[in-house]
Amino acid sequence: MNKFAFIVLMLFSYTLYAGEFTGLTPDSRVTLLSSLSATIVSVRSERQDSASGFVVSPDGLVLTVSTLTRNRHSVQVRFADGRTFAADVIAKDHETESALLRIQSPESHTFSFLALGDSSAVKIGSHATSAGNPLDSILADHQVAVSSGTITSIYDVQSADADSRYLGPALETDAAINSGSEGGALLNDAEQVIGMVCLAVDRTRMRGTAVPINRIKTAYEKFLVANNIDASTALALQDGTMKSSDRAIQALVKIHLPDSTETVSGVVIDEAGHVLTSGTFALGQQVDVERAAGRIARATVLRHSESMDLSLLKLDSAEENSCIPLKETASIVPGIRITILGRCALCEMPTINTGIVSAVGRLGGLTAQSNARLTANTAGGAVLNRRGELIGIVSHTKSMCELCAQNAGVSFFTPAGLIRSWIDELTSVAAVSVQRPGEKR
Amino acid sequence: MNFNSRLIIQIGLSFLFALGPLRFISANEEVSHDNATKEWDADAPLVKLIETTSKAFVFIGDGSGVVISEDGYVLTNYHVAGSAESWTIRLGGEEQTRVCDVVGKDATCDLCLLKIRGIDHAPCMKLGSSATLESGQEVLALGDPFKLGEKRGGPAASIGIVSAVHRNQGKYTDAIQTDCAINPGNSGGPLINLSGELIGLTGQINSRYGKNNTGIAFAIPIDQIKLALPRLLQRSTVGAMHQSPLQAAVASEVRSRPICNYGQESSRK
Repeated sequence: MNKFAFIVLMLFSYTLYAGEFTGLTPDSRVTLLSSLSATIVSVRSERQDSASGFVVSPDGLVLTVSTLTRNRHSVQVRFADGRTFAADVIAKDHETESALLRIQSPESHTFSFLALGDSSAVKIGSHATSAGNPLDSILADHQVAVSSGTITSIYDVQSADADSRYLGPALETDAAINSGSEGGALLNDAEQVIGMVCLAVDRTRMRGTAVPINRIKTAYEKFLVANNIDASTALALQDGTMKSSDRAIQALVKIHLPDSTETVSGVVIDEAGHVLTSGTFALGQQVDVERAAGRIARATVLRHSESMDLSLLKLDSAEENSCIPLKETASIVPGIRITILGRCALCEMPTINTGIVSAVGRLGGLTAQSNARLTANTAGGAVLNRRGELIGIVSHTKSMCELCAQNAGVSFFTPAGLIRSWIDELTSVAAVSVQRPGEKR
Repeated sequence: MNFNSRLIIQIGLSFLFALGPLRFISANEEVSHDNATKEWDADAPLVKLIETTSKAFVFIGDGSGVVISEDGYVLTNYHVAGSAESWTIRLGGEEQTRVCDVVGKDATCDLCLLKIRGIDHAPCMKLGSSATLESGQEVLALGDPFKLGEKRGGPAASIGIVSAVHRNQGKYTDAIQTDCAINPGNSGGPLINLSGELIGLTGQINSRYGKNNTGIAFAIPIDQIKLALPRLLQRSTVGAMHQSPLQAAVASEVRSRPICNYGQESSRK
């Protein structure tokens, strides 16, 4: 068991990185971020609200969203220090909903700029920072606004609305993205741009997204190369994401709710193939469970607890089952850093959120609360502590969504200790019913 | 709120389960791997910080508040406590409720100062300084989002960063912007630096979807509150003119200049 926990920990060492804060010492990111403010601009055309943009070359090339530059050849860019310039729209790309600008400035003028990273190397669960001009922070207050979060998932955005028409591969993040943020930079910890923040939101997820920078690099390759900007893109985006061969990931399943298009997550907790999930199922019901790499397995519902919002399923087949065991003795107190794994309808790969335990004894005393910004399809997902131990199962997402939509940072999970007692109770009842015939003899 | 009714029956049970794991952990620690212990230790400072600061947290009305002096002065938002003269409150570390009275309030600054009746050694939070805050700095927010902890237990903690400083949004001027999870019910709750000092009161959010937080929340900076405190204190009843520890502290720290002038400017929004 310990050996397995260690393996899980190793697998998730990079995901835990997002939660790897240096105790309570001053944050080194402060210095990192302070240098950002000279590279982020607000972009404005006359009639519209402003968006964000970021400088990518010393002579003033700026990447931004194309929504503001529609039918325009020139826009205004402004830095947090108040410097304001006119900028020419030199290229647009509708696929990525982006535009390339060149700031009109004297030739001698040099700008601070951001290096473009490699979005194919981005892993789900790694740390990300959004930087931009949400709610006109640059125009109103001379402030670039930053927010810290995690790459929570990578998938193709499949529905568009009025804010953004972008459809395609996207990096999903729980770092703050709000109106005015679009065109801003999503950065890795090396302060390289890994995505352009956009307002595209897939209806099934309702989470902030960014267009992978490699797509944008490809769109403007000749301009970037002509300006000595490294436009190289590595392999396809998916290659950088989490390996589906990871054993712990294989313990995660996706379950289609009966009579619904919604999906929830689930976790295989032992080699016998017991699966914990959240959602309402009828006892004895057969459900299709989607395992890693799209394999479908049948499972039977053994037990459902409405108060815990949990269901226990058992996989029918006897194949070898990857699992994450429940760690019922792990401490759950406010302040513990947690990583939450789930599956979503859109994505092959798991979703990863990070946060802390916010409070315990919630919803009548059963559940723990966390500040992770979860979505409904993370219900039944695995809550891991820093050691990679399974300390709970995401539950009560329905109450969460009723209360606080999908982004509020108020989410719940049922502690492993409670779940273990519930399961043990079930097995002891089964054992009694088996023994009875023997007693009669 | 149907989930409430169906869960309420479990109160007794859960207590048992909540305590069980805690009791075992120390025994487990001794045999655990060195690396694993290190991982665990990394959480300890934040766990301790939340434990300590939660005691000075105040559940009040539809929002939150914080005790800022040993003699029981409580800070919260005007929009939380300004509508009444006295409130029944509960401290984050206590089960029993207490009564406190509004001492002074200021709608423009969205501040309300109250005093808990008959308390001498209240757990309180030290006032820090918001002048040295930098964007990117990690901060802790305590609050009671959606009033989930109103009846029992401590406040909900959330960790985030300072997104920007000196922000003028909505009713607030010179506010701290943070990506901590702040939601209805968090209003008046403390924003705390990692040294455990009060650096602001969270009171306003901005959202892409409806009423709930999408990573943009605003806090009144503590330096602005320090300027407002003498005025809030002056409005205390005439009889109580002895100088309390808080008044003494404020007198020594705060110069007598007009407060929240920019607050009035902001009313144009």
